[in-house]
Amino acid sequence: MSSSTSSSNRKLVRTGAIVLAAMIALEVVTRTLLVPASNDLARFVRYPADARALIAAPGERIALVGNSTTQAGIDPPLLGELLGARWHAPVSVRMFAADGAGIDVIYWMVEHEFARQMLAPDLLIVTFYGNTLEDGERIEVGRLAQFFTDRADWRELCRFDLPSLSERADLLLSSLWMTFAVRDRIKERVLDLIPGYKNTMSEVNAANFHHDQLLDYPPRPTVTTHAALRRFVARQRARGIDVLFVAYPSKPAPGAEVAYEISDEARRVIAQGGMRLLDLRRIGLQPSDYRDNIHVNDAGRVVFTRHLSDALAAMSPPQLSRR
Amino acid sequence: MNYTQLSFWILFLLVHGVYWRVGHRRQNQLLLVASYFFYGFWDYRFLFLILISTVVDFIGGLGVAGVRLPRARLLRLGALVLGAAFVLCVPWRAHPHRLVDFAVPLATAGVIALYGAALPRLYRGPQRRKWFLVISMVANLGLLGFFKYCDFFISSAHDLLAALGLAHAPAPLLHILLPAGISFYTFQAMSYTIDIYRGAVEPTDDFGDFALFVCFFPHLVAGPIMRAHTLLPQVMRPRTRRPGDFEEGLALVVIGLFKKIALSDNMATIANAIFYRLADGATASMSGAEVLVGVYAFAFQIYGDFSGYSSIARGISKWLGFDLVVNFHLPYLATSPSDFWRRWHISLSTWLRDYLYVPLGGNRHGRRREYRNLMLTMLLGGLWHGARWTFVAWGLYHGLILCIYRLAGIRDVSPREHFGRWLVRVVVMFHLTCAGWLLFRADHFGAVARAASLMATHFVITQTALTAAALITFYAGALFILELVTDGEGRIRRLLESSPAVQGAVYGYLVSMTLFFHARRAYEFLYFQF
Repeated sequence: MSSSTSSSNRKLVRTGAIVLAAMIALEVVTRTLLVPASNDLARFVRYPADARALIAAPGERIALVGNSTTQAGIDPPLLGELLGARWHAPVSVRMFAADGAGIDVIYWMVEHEFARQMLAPDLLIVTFYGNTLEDGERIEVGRLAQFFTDRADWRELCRFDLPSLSERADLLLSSLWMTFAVRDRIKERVLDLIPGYKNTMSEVNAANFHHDQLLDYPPRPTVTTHAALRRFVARQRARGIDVLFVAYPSKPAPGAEVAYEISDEARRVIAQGGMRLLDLRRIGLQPSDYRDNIHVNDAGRVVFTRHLSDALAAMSPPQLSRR
Repeated sequence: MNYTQLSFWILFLLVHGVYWRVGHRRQNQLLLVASYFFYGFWDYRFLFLILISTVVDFIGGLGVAGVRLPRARLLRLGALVLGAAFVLCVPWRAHPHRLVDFAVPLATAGVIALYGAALPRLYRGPQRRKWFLVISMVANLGLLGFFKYCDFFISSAHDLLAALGLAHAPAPLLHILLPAGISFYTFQAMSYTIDIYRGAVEPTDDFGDFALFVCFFPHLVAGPIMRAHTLLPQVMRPRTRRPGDFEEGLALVVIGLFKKIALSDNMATIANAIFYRLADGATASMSGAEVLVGVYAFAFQIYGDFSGYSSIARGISKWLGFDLVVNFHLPYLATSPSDFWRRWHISLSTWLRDYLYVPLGGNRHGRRREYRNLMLTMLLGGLWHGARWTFVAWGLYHGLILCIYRLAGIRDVSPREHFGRWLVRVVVMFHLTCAGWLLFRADHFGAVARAASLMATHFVITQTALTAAALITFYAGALFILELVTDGEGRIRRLLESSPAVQGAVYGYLVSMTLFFHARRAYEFLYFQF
């Protein structure tokens, strides 16, 4: 019996070694092929260098931080050009966006790209919509672990942003294992090989999302809190960063004037931190300016960028105002 | 806490770390504490229910066998139940001060006093065996009936009265929380007393062993439903580490997690999207082919979910030195309804056969009685799954197709005998099963009617239907091949006896799919609600 047990153990060890070797091979493929091939991931890798390039540029240096609405809605070169013309000074604009980022992820993006590198833009523009300034938004832990934080941040991350055991385990695994961290993208890439996958899943997700909303799933906290926003504001204030929060004009429901309300608490936190809030929810975008219920299309991007530049131009240039 | 959560695996590692270092008695005590902790994680108050079921059947089982418990032990059991009622069922956080806050302990004290007073007479009476059996049945079915079906019967009666114009106010529902796994452990506890009554099993006089038999955590909330003659001896006998148990347990756990996380949850995303729209009536842009694929997706969702749970339960039991029964055996390769019920939720279908169908007369009293018994058994089997009329209809539907197959004299055929005929039968039976899943999953009969109407009148094969079908193949295809090779779980050793390269490929695939292809949302195990 003992010889059969030891042979079975040997077999198990060999099997484990084969699985491990396969996982290591997959990790190499992920790091060398998949990450560079993914627009999102390659962009995240570039962000620290982008931040350095922005700060090294002459004139006014504006960092746009946000999510896919920022990415779809603002044209950085056009904004720089329009503002440069109004302020009669060179203006550099760079974008730092991550899909679905709420204020908690934005906090870590700004920490990682700017604070860690001891860099400070002249103006930090944070675009938001819906409830992205509130606490409780789902965080994509893998992306946070690999691209926007490092081990030095774990204590703060676990204390404020990742309270559950499973999230912390996800953080640990994701920071050590790129394939695990970017698993959602691997899944999308593989399944995208099935014809019609994207359209089918967007139909499926829309039906499920609609039903979940009817059932109030996942249940939102009965009291809305803004601890992450408070933390973000306090941190930027301590670093002397000028922050402008911009309410993004997502598409209102038929008959409604705006798509979402800005809570009094969020306004208060921003004002108490000495920061400004620019409400661009009513800029007269037409339904034809949107590609879906949230994101604007190319035409909408030009309209929104122009409105943003007009509003910014009405303010004094950040560096000048500081001098 | 469930098998897909890290907290469960931490608990299991802690238990396992101690388990094999202590003796048999300590092992049982450890498992009992872990099982109560596991169950109490849902809602600690439910522990009181499982304790009632355990105590009633412990005394009842011994009573049926003619074993009289000494007064001191009876008093200790009474004190245990009463103490549990005080600790678990008084709203201590709300600073109880009204009499109603102590309603459960007071009622418990009353019932214990009555039972205690009646026990000497019960022990002496000529109908002793029958009375103890009846008390066990009433207690277990009473718990099940109240917690699972009370609101259902109230709302059904109210709907009927409203239809007759006799009810105008809203139904006075009690909004009772459904305790996880109540259908499983009450059935298991009842089978113990019935088996003793039939002389098939010897009762145990060790309360700890019996309590562990009822609440053994790997299978507590979603089965398999174990019988006393299978599980109780394993609880009572010292267990040893058997060669091959670790490997077999590992294979079962990995396959089970794959079935739940990669297969079932991804299928749920597709199936839900279809069934939500059917329920809401938002079917303007839907085709019959999409509905059909949605039903296929649900077929694999429920298979992955339930058989995945059973696989994991069997796997972790192996690691603890226990053997649980195989609960699924390639159910979608069934060639007839009776074949299906020999392959699907085997522990329930055999329970219903042995404790309901056969006692009703089975097929012993002519065709008409046989069909009546089949319909009744399947109706109650449907109702066991949940308090909804669609479940009743699902049970009746299965009863009906069982009767039709028997009436038509369609006998099972093996693929070796006649492959073509076997294949046709499998395809037909799979679609009959799917028609049943439509009833099972639909939120109401209106959704069933909409689905049937779309499939009958607007069966257009759209890109969405094709893509969803491709996704089902992507998630279920490899598992199907693996299960063919291992004959479900019947010959799982075939996998373990293969070369490390083959095993590495299989494990690599299962682990990668589980880790990297899980659905965005993790769904609760479906059978927890039953």
